[in-house]
Amino acid sequence: MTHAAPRPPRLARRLLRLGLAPDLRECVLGDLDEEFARFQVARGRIRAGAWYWSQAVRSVIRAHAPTHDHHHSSRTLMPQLAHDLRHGIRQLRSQWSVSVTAIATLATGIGLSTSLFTVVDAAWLRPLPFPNPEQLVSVKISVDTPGGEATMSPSLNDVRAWRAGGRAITHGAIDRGARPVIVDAGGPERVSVSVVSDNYFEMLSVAPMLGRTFVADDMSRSRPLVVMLGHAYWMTRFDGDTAVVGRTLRLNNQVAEIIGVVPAGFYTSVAVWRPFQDVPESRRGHGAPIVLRLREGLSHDAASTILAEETRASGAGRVLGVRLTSLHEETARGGRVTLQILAAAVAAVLLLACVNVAGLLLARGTTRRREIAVRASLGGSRHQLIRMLLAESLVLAVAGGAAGVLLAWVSLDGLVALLPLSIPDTTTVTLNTAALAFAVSVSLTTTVIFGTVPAIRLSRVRLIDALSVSDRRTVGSLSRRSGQTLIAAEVALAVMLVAGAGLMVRSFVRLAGVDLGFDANTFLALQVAPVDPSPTVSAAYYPALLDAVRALPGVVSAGAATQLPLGGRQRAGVVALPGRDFLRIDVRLMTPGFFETLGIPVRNGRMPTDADRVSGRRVVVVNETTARQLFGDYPALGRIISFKSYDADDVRPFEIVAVVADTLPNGARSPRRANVYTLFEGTEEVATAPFVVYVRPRGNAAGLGDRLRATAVSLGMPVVVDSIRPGNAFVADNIAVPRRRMQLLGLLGVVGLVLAMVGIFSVTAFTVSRRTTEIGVRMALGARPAVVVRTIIGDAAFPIAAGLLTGLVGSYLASRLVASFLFETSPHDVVTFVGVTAVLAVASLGAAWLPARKAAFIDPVSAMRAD
Amino acid sequence: MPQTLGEFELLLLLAIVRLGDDAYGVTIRRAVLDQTGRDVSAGAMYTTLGRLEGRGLVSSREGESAPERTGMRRRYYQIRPEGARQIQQSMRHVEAMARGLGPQLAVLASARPRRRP
Repeated sequence: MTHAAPRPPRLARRLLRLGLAPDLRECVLGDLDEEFARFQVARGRIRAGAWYWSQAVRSVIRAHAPTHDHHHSSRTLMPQLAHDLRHGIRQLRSQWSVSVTAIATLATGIGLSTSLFTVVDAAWLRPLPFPNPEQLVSVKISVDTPGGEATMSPSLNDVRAWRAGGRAITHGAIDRGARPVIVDAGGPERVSVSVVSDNYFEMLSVAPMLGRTFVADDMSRSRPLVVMLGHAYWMTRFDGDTAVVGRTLRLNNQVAEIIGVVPAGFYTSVAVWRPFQDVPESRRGHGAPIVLRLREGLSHDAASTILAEETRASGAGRVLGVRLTSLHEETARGGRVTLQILAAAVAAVLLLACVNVAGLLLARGTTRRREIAVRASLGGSRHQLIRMLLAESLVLAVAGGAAGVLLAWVSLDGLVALLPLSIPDTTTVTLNTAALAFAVSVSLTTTVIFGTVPAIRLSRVRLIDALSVSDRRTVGSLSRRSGQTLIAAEVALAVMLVAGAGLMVRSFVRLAGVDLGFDANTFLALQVAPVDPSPTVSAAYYPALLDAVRALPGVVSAGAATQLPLGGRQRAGVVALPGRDFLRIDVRLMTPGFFETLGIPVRNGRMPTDADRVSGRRVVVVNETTARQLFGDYPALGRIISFKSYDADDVRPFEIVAVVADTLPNGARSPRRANVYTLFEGTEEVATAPFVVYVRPRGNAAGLGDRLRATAVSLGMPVVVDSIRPGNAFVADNIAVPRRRMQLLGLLGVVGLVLAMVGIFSVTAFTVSRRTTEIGVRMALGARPAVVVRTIIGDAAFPIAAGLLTGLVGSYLASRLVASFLFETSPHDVVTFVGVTAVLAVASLGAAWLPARKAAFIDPVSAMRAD
Repeated sequence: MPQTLGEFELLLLLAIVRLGDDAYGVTIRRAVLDQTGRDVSAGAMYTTLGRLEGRGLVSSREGESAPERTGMRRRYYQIRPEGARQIQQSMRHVEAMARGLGPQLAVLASARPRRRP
């Protein structure tokens, strides 16, 4: 029975255990357990839990406080603290606008930094979710080749030798990563398939949830194909059926037996795992990355020395060195600079928020000098005064921190969507204890420090000065200077944030304006593949599809190619240059109609036609870069070049019939490459590559997508339609990361600007209110309102100028951090810096002008009477 | 000079007398709660009991455990003669001071509070 009954709340019980004196522990814990059990039966679990919590908290607090003599209890810690806190809340309510501004400022700073901390933690700090992740490394070897030193993946024989040697590693396996492949398990679809070798799961200490993992035998193509299922895929496709082991599915139209299921949370985006079959045992540089698990306690340097020795000892080629990279490093590397920038920007926002709060608290503290002096003269000790102000700060910190956590919680999803980097799919981004602890410590430190500074200073105020009326006539030199320092600091920080945002915007505008070599606004791309990958099926399917599509109403032209717009590099070939080097080229297949449909300009010559294909003439279209690199200024048309065509086994001669404009293979930042296009003959295997059908509609393409899909599946063979997208969607994707980067830094820039404006406004407003009497005197003596406004603004203008200068110098130094993200934009871009300076100067002076203008309307008589 | 009893101490001592052999943490707390409505915290109660024991007013002994106490033993309390004497004395003082004040207190308690101007 005892085991079935619910236990008291664990955390509360732990609190008790820690908080109680040792001699009380047994009886109190036992009593509360006993009562909880009864309470729980009588009143239900929730109320019992609440009761237990209240008992725990009160027991811990009161067990230390003497309880019998009430006249002493006011001196114990807790009641006094409660009193101070109540007082703090009253104070904050009485200065509502200041409190709301301070809390909102804190919430912004804390909210943003907490959610970004969460992201940084998930993407960067958290170790890989495997046992002893520090032992996992990816490995490359440097080999001496006739062409010089080359770095490549080691061969399987190398790995075997290392394992047999046993001095450096315990496991080694291939991890070729995931690619989209057509899988048929009750309906064909393209899913993410990861290719690994035997030992992979053992290396990561991942036990299958069901069935078994891959063994050496599975690696041979002569054996039947086996696969493991990803957990999520197994849940959705097989309803989590535990009898799935032994069943089959089709992978690339090949039957595969399911031998196991990986546990939940392990690379969640991968649907199916398959073995890497028939890796050449002795071949290095096979394009499959290899991961090793080092022996425990072995450093990377020591391991790489041992591995290099062992490789040399095995006598396989001249190995110059073995390079190990921590797997965690490798996974997180992509976003490192981005994260550094974000961390820096967020630190700036947080700092700005802190400076703001400091300004607010200082200003508020100064207006309360007299109140505090009165308290002191009535017998309040310095210690009590500091404690009182501290309690107020604490209330502020807790409110700001809570609002910040709320903001972080609300903004996290949006932020993750905005992130210019991908989060490894072994981790999830949720607000966790670390992030919350971070938020709490940040908010407490900020406010308590900046709340205590005025407290300590104020408690040092000489009573006579603070109480005397004359004190209010002029601003004390200390607080004026600190107000000006705050303004300068805020402007400087804002300049840096806005400059970062400005550089990103400018770079993005240039990036988006680059001519990619084709007209993205006038075509639709239809990605479709027959389930059966054999060339005969493709040879029948694509020409039939193109004919059917061209017959659709509203279609101007259609063509296909083994190239997604901005889809990166493709199969590389080489063209032999007589007497010289080789030229690396990308070979693509296309059908007639491809260039017209994509709007790639033809510079010279004629388009290949189906007649060329039928006649058996081998013709090729080259881009301008190819023509220039092969023939310089000489005409390329009619020349014969020889290369290995798309997945062909031998080199063949082709006649150049046309030269077309370059397209940028990977977006604006990619270098121009030598491309050639050959006609799709129908013998090539294209099903696994992105063979894409392009369609140019007449005018409005509304509804064409559906008709294209209907046409694609209506040709009498099973196909998978992956996507139908307009050309500009690819462009948008291609620049999505820079766009998000711009948006995120833009957001931080705007937040920084607003925070700085609020800060300048509040400091200036405070100055004005402090100088009301002085201004009244001046105006009574005949000063014109314009002069008064000028005086007040002039007071703020110097720190603003100083802040601008500091900020510009800071940005100049810090902009190197973002340099790698800038496209054709100097990190010291003059236009950006001038613009930022102008924006900040205008906005800052505006923020100072608003309260200054109020000063001009001060009525001299009432101003002099004030206080 | 013997210390006088606080109200809470008096309540605890009376509860122990009332409970006889069955006076341990849970029952003492319950007795106070049932008779006075005061839901005292276990921590405060044991601190006070410890002090009373130190002053020689009560004695305690380790008792048995129970299944729902996860192995923690009970601590039983018993009143000592000095404790009983102090209870008597405290109650005599209270009675002496309160004698004849019943009607007056009733009038005072039922009066409406006057608003401050």
